[in-house]
Amino acid sequence: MTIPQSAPPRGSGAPRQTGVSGGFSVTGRGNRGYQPDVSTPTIPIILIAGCALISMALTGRAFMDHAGSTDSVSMLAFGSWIVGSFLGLIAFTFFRSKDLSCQAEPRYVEPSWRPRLVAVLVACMGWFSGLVGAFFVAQALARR
Amino acid sequence: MKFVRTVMAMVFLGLSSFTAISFAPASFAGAQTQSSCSKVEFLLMMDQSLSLQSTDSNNLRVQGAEELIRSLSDTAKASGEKINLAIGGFGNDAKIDMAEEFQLPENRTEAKTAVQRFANLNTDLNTDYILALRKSSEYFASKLGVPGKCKKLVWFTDGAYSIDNFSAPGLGTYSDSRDKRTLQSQLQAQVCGPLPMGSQLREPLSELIRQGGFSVQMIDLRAAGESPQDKAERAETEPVINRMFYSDIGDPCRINGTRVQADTADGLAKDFFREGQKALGHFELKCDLLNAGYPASMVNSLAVQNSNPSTKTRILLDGKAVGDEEEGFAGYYPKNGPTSAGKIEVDAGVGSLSLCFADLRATAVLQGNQSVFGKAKSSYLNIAVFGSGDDSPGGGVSDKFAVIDAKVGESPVSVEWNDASKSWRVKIDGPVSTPPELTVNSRAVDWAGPPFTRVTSGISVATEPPPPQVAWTGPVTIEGKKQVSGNLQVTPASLDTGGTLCVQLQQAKVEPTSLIVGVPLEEKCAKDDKPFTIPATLETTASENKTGKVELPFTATYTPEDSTPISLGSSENVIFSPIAMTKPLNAESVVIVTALFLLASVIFTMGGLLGVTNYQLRLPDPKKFRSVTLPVSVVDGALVRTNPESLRMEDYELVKGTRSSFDMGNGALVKRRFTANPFGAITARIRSKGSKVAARPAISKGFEKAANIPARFQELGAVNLDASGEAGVLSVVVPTGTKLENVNRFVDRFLGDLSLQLPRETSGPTLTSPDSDSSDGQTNAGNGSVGGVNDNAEKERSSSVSVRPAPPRPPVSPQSAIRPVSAPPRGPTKNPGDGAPQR
Repeated sequence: MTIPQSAPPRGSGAPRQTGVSGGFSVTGRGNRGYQPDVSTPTIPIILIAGCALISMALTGRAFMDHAGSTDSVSMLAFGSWIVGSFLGLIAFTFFRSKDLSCQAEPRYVEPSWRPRLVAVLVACMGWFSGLVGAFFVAQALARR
Repeated sequence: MKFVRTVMAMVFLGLSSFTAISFAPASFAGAQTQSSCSKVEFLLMMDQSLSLQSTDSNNLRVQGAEELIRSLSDTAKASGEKINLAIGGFGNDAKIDMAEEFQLPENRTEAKTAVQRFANLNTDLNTDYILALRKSSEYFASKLGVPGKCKKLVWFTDGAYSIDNFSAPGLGTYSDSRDKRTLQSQLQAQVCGPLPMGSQLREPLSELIRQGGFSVQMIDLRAAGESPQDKAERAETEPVINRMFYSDIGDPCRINGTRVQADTADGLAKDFFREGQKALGHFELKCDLLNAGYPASMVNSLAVQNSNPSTKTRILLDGKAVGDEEEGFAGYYPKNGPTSAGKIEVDAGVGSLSLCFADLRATAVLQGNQSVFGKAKSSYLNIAVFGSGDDSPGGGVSDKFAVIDAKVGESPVSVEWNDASKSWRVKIDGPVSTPPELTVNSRAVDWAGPPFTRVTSGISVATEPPPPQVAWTGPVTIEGKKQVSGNLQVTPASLDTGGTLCVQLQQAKVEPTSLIVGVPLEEKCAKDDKPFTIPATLETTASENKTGKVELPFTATYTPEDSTPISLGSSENVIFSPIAMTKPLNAESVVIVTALFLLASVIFTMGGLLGVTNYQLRLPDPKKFRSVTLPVSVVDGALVRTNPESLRMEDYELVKGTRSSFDMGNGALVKRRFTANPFGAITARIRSKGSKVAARPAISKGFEKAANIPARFQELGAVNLDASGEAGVLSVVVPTGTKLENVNRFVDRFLGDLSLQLPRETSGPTLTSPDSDSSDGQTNAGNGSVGGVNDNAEKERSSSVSVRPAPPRPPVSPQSAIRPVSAPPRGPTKNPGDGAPQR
């Protein structure tokens, strides 16, 4: 009688146990009955998503205001870069930091919605949106 | 606590905003607001009762008062006003140190120092409101010649009128009673009148306050920590306070002022800010409009509150900071009224604008012709809204910021925005024989203020149509040396009269001269039943960043059916919006600047991530760990303890090492890694010279010269096999305080798990199939396997090496498939004296 430990196939919808090998511990987990799994942190992902959304909104607004069509630097576009490409990546750094701490836990489980992948994608979207804002700023500066 | 501190700061900051606005000079304070004060007398009266020790044990009132002083000082500096600030306290008595009057902004530091002493003034048994208000009245009465509107009292208290010290010196100055119940019950009469028997006041307090002419802003802290007695006293005081501030205007108890309860945290500061602004005749403006660049010509004053009280907030006029900027607040009071041009934006930093209040000015102006052609089925008039700037055609406020509605007589008429002329076209239905009276109401969009001045105009009925409106419809931005095409749209002011309208364009006056207007100079005619267009071009002969202004005159003639042409008025100008001339885009510069932005965002953040990653690569603090080592042997392909006795407390040793390197005590060394990959795994390296190690937890499973392990391990086991592969030393590093039984269990599981990973030449086929019936009744889990994957690996191994019989193993418990390997009987110990396991 053994405990099956093979990971479920990707895309199966089930959470994947991705902790390091040797999932037994002297500090409680596994010795005191059920302990909740450690999961990917979600608050930093919300922050990343917030930055991305704000950045995209600012970029859209800057575009509507014809940012970059004159030598006047659009504060909306600049704000978009700050939020999307700067604050967004700082939020991503925060996420990575927290996630790596969680991954050191033997009972680390990544939820089925793949938050690590989602975080990377959303951060990229925000970063790209910020880059568009930076492009508008660059256009204005390049006209001077 | 930080939250409460923030709340206090916001309350005081909101208060300062309220008072600050009222100091604005008359010329820009708005028609509804108070006129100017050459000097403002300001008194801060602080509660010093004992109850503060529970309701404000961290002296947040002092921090809030400091915020108040700071913002008052900054406002005075920005507006050029002088503020005379006095600070008083009340409790058993009420005192105002007349020697401690501070001129702001000069004596800001001294004022802040003075208010800090209230941190220790919280021992009075009484909270004597009567003394506080009487002392304030006396103070302001001494300020002869200062108008009442320039006298402000900020009165901070945390509770209610409460008398517990009957020997307090001030008590006898207003009542001869020494009974708590009597004093409490007389509060209303003492404040509102008529004065009770035994009162020593010459008049009720509300009357004294009115005579002093000052307004009272009460900050009523209702933090947690009130005793039942406090609550009862508050319930008795409440009706009196309410009557003072909220009764009908005719009530003799009513005084000028507002009260703010600081019990609803940050929302309260917002409410207070809002109510204060309203009281001053200012009206709320939707903050989003400021993001769009508000026309400065409409803004007579502006005060904004940041949702984050610690964020520097700036009001920008055409990108330059104006007005006074503060953390959490900014105010703009143009000294000579609204500027004639420019856009106002607000830089809220990392916060956002929570409230915006403004005093706005604008007027609706009838532009162009003031008459309608009586025969026309419909005629159009143009209405534009202007702030303080030039009311030239095309310079009106956009419909984003202002709207109008119009009536002829009592009937509403159609109004349509025309972006080309920046005006509204008002349709007057015809034909008409009597002059219609047009009434236009204009108001600011999303501003709670009243409509701007109503314009009522008697429109004359003409025997000929008014001149048409001609406006440029085409690009308003020209990049580099270029010619752009557009149209001049001719909109008849009177439609469908059956006549013909002709427009004769003349030479344009353009500034700068590098902008050239190309228009046909011959007369263009069309029926007046609908607008028509005349092609035109704009050309720039220089590549520069300038704003072009075009003045293009034209004359119009109208030819009625079967009649001779009539000249329509004198020369009019085509409506041209300012033309933005810009240098062409330099692609290289765009790429370089964008790349710099890109690099800046990536370098800073990836650098930060790299730093965080390397920081996380540090090993755990060795001081928080203990290690245990014990010899192990390979017996029949399984790793077992050489000495099968359980570990004992004496076996624990301090861990030698640092957060960069751990000595496991068995020859293996754990070393911290450094990485240049910001997304690198948080692992450390364990290695042993000349032998092989295996560790748990680990990234790799088997025995290697070196293995990767999680750098943030909470416990770590490592076996260092000697060159023969038959013996080795096990070391376990565990957090200090870990129970021995847990360590023993960990060791057994660890050995069982590692037995499967032994090098082939030393490992034997010790497992039977997990599904087969073992002859000795054991399962493969008995050697510490943690999963079917390992079982399969073992099956493969057994098929390639000679089979040796497995030693008998204990039965597996249903709770765990991992069990310690049965060890040979413990032989004679090498350290019989202390009984400790051999290292």
